Amino acid sequence: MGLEKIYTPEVIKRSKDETNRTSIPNANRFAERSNEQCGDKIAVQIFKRNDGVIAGAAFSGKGCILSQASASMMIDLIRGKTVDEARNIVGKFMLMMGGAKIDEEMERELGDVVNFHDVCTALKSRTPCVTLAWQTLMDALENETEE
Amino acid sequence: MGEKEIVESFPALSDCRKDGKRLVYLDSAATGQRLGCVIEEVKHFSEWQNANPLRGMYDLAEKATERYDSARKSVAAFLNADSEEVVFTMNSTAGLNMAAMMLAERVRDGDNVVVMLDSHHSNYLPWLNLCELKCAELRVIRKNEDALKLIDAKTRIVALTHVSNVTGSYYDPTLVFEQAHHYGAVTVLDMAQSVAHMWVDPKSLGADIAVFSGHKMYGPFGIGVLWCRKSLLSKMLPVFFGGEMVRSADEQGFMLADIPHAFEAGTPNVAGAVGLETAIVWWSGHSHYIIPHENAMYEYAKARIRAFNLVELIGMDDGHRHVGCISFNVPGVHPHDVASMLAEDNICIRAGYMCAQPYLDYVNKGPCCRMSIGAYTTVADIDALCDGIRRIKRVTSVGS
Repeated sequence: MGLEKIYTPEVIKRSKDETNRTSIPNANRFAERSNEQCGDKIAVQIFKRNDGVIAGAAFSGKGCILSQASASMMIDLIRGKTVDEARNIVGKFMLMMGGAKIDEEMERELGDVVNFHDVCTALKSRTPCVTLAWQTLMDALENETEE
Repeated sequence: MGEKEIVESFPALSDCRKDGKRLVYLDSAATGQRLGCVIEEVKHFSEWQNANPLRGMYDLAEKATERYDSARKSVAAFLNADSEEVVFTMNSTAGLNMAAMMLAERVRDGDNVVVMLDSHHSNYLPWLNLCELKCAELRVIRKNEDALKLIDAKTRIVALTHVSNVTGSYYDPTLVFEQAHHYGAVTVLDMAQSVAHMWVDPKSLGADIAVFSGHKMYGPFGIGVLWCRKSLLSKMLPVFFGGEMVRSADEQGFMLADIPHAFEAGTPNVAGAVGLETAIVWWSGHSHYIIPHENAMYEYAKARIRAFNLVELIGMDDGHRHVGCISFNVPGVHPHDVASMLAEDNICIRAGYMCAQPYLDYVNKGPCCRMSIGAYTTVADIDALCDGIRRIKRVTSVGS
């Protein structure tokens, strides 16, 4: 398979998109992770409302096209979801990146990020790039405590 | 003999195609491609001569012992050294860790160990660890720093890198080692990146200990060499204990075997040693072609990469001669993306921190890409790399 299915113009554009690369003044959930192999860093900030909805989400950091595009698309996907829904989405994404077959439900819930599935088959060494932001988000949600 | 014969000596270069595209292997600093004659010789040994050497008293064991001894003699001749000074190890990393452990008793609280910043982690972390254990000071030779000023009466070890695996910078260690000996320090030289590109003679360079790996010079994985001056080796204690490294043992003590066997506990990697010997014989027989050819390829690569202004070179301005590899960044494109996109065209380079994070962080250039050359590198390989980088710039300019 050609890399054009992974490095699509959309993915390249998203990697440069600054919309979700910001900070949230009233963020109340944070996490940061780095990829030891390449030194890439991602920080995720979340503002969770009292009703459990992720009202604000953003990321910051530096990295390759795949890690930055994946982070930006992830933020779009979880904004407005409840913590439980977001956890479910992350779980499905990680399952997919582990090589699981994509079913209809997965496709519906994950949207465009299902295109990263090709990374775990055609570019396996880059899977950690794609999953870095998602693992960081999971850390942020795991730090979650009931108020 | 020429380029065609050399390239044909490496099966992967003609066999490892991807979607019909030939292999452009520019990662020889990570590992050299395997020589066909090495593969055949290791196979022959494994099929017809395999036995535990130095122990058995039957024909097969005698043959294995003969092959192992012969390999040691070939390594010694290659290094202009004595066979007794050659200890087989797993690789350079193993050799350097062994050296750090064997020299540990010489280092005390308040002493110092001098290392180079642009070393591979394998010639940095063992010394850092030793200094932490012994409350000693790790003195680091940074870019353009005068190493001689760092060495004093408290210096116990000076560990230098012959050729940097990041910048390709070549260091002549002679003066620094002379100063180290003036203060009674032990000198260690990492030759992992030099051994496939030039004749090396650690004794004449002033080293007391030197290491290299077989796989970087077209031999097998899992075999390396720790060379140590006889006068020093015979005074040190091994770090591994077990079979075939003692003359005798009783309930409460043992008597070490002669050098170098005292430093090779357990069943050795004879197939690896046989493969390494084959690689050394091949390299030595072709060195009159390889050395000038690699110099020409290096200069061509440097000129081409510099000329098209699409990349930023790393460490080329340090005033040293450079050998074997060129590290670079493509501005605006992450090194991992560069490497993955080149891989699409079956072009192999390395991307990341090159196991030299302290250096790349210091010069603020990490992570980065590295292309490295070998005996088989051709003008077409370098042109393919440059074309690939140009294509990457075009593809990734979307949305800029």
